[in-house]
Amino acid sequence: MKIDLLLFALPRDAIGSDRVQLDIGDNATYADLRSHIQQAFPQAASVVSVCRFAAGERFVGEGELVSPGAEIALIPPVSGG
Amino acid sequence: MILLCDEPIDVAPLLAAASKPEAGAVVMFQGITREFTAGKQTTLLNYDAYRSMAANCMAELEAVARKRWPLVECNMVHRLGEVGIGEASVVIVVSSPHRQVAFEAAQWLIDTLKRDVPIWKQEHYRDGTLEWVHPGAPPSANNACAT
Repeated sequence: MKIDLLLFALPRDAIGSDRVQLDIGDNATYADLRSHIQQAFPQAASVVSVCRFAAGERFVGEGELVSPGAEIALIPPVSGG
Repeated sequence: MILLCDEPIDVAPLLAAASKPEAGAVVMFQGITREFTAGKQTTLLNYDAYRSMAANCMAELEAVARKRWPLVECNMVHRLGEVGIGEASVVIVVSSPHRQVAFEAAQWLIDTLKRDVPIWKQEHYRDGTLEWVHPGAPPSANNACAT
């Protein structure tokens, strides 16, 4: 299935876009998605290893299935404030 | 009240809004762009956010804080874009009947914001380098690009 992934901060700069489309397996988990991103964009692999994922603007667990209908975002460690 | 803004934050109306007859304590926290960090000189910070999620997360923090503590007002404003030295990137103003609650809630709000709200700062250093701040991330060659 195809998903759009929103990118921010360092992963966005390393990958060079604020949104990428990825084609991942139908029953992929967020752990699978992480590996997929690291293989597709090795220049961002180290920061991607410490990112969280959000779907529908909520943090999701590593073992959950990627839901194609939701807005999915890669959330690097935050530094607001 | 939750706000993400692109302009300097005016604290006066936030303090005024928090001052109510039933509030015996008003606590304000301001996060300010600091000039020196670990010996490196910063010229400004550039803040980026996943705006819609950040606003939702901050609204949730307010809701949780109001359940945990008897707050009268709870206002959080985060500025995005470029924030110069000495200027505030975040302002939190809480009021409550007594001071202990206001101190505790303000501390919890800023600590939790810094842990969970999808906002990021990029250091612009005097030497011309830029660096996204991602606490806990391994050092990366991509994270110190010259301008």
